Amino acid sequence: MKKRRELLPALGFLAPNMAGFLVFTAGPVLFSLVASLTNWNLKQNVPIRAVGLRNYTEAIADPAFRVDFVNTLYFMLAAPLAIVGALFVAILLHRRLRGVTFFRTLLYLPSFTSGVAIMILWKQLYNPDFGAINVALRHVSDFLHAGWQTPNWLSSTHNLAGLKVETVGLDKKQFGLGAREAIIFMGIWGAIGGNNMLLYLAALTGVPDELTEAAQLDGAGRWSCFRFVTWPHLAPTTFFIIVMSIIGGLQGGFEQARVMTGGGPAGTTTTLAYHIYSLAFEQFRMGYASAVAWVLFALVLGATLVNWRFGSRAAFEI
Amino acid sequence: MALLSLTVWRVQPGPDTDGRRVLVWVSDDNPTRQGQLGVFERTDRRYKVVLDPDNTGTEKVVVQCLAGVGPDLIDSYTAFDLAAYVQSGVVEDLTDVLPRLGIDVKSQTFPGIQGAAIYNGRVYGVPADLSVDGIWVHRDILRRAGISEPRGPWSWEKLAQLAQKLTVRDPAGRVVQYGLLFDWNWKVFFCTYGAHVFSLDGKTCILDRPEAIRAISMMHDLAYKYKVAPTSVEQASMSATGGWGSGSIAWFGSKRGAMALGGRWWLASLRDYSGLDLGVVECPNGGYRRFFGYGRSTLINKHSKNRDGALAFLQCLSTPAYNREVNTDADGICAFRKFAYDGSLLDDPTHPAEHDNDVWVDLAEHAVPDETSPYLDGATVNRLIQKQLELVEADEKDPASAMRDAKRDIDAALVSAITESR
Repeated sequence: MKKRRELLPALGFLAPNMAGFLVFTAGPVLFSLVASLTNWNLKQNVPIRAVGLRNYTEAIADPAFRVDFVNTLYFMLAAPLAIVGALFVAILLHRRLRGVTFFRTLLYLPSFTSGVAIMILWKQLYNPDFGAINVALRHVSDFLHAGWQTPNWLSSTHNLAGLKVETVGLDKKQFGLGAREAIIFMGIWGAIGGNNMLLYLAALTGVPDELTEAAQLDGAGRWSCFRFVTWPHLAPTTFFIIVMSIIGGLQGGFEQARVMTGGGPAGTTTTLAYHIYSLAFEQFRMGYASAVAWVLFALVLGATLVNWRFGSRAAFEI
Repeated sequence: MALLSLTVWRVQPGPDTDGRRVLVWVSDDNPTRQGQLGVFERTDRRYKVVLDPDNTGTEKVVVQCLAGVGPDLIDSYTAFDLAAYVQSGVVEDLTDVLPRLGIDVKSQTFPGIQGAAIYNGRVYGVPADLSVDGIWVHRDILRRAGISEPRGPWSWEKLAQLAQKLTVRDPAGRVVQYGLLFDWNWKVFFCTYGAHVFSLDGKTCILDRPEAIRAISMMHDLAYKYKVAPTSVEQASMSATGGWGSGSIAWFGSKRGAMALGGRWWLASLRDYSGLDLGVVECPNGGYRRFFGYGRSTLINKHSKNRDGALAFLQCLSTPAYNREVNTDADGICAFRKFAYDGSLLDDPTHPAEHDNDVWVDLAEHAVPDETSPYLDGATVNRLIQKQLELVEADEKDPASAMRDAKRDIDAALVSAITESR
């Protein structure tokens, strides 16, 4: 009886959130699942009808999907560097030094600055002629008499893996720095001082000082202290960050493509998220775009399950 | 949150403080828009027009209209835009309505802009202005180079030769003044070479035909063979600043280019530069004196709650006051043909230095609209062509291969779309 009396107010408090979740999250998600099984394309002359799994088979067979998936994976290569960078910065900022709050704020700046503004700024930095990056590279090249050819950044299809442009494959003529790397470098810059750094900072405060001191008394050096005391305590945080980075990476790249490159040049910065946007809101193929979105969801879910299967034991065994 | 959303959805712009009804007009933020809506507000004091430049883009407008919160008036810029609006069912068919307002789009307006107003023989909008690209020249630069001002009709090859004489490099070999600035708009080149995207029945892509390849080759050659125009990398430098009137216009205004391919609407920005001595020459041709017409047509949201006001606005677009405003403000030239021949354009006393408006009118007479296929949306076509063009622009693919690949991709999309529509 008492439980029932407590249940009603609890439900009352939960109701606004639940209503929002049902209307704005669960509803659209279910709607998109149904839409993915239809030919819905916003065209009046094409009646909506069920097409079964055709959208899914088409999506998986679509060469553009595969190219955009490879682009997405390529952008995700930035994640390990961003994680290591965030950890390094967090360790530096964990020290009790004068002005550390200022540096924490400074490094976190990209996270609370408008993303679009940052991207426009980087677009200027990447300008092949008068962007600060190429100007600096040219100065260094002149100083070293190296005769470097500065990259064309956002205008170039070149990439460090030598990925082909229109199909999945490798072509050594494509090797170099181009639009993909430009976006990756910007992403690493933003991520190093971002939420990952905050998570690591929080995790570092949870490492018991007495364990570190005991290790030091036993003769452990800085690296040994980090390797055998600090790092195991950071494992759950690292695991969480890796999982979130993979999820974010698979869903990412939209803003950069929209603001900086339009998905180009020649589709080299089109990720799955931008691919879905283009299908739905430029080509109005809502049903097909929904199917691609669900394929993306399956990829995200699969990657997360693999992480849990193989990563969680190592992360939480301490 | 749901309640709040429903409330917002129900709330439509009410009358302003003067008791006037508010019409929302989705158009770009060209500085001339305020003057244009001012013409309407002075003509019909029952309405106030609110320009909404943040929501331009077919996808935004279609989604808003379908959700019941769309604008009253929508500007359509291309036949592709119009096709998307019509196929989505968000705009009103005005074929039987406009004649009652004294407007006959087919006979009264330039054919070059009708593609943005007429779809499958039905009229959905009223053309609001027309632009056709010509060649802007800095007369003082030509004089200094000892070159007489060219006259059309002329060929792209002649233009390239002239541009070579006007391209200036510094001792390090870097270009300090381009002979020609252009924005890699393939449609402009296509028209002048007699090239088409689709076969007559719209079921096949014919981008692999020699005339299409010649058109794209000329674009490529201007940058890489004749070396008179910016490459895609240099083009990227131009677009870095963004905003209305940026890119090629800013470079031309600051004399980084001796000539430029652009429309009369550039004047809206170029008039702000001091000390320019500008001339205009007909756009070169590749054998066909056909020029790509573009501009705006204004459509009405089928579910507009201010239909009467929206119709009054469309009627205003056909009036002398509005068309003269377009001519004087240089938002292209007026879409209604008869006003192109009156004093507001050919002898505009407010801009006596602009002597070449007869060239714009002549270009308008030879302008042709965008071509579409009834089977495939314009966004897909543009995306597939643009993808290949970006490779040509970057000199990573030859024009013939690029056009063949574009044809292959568009044909595949056509087959899929035709199958879908059955």
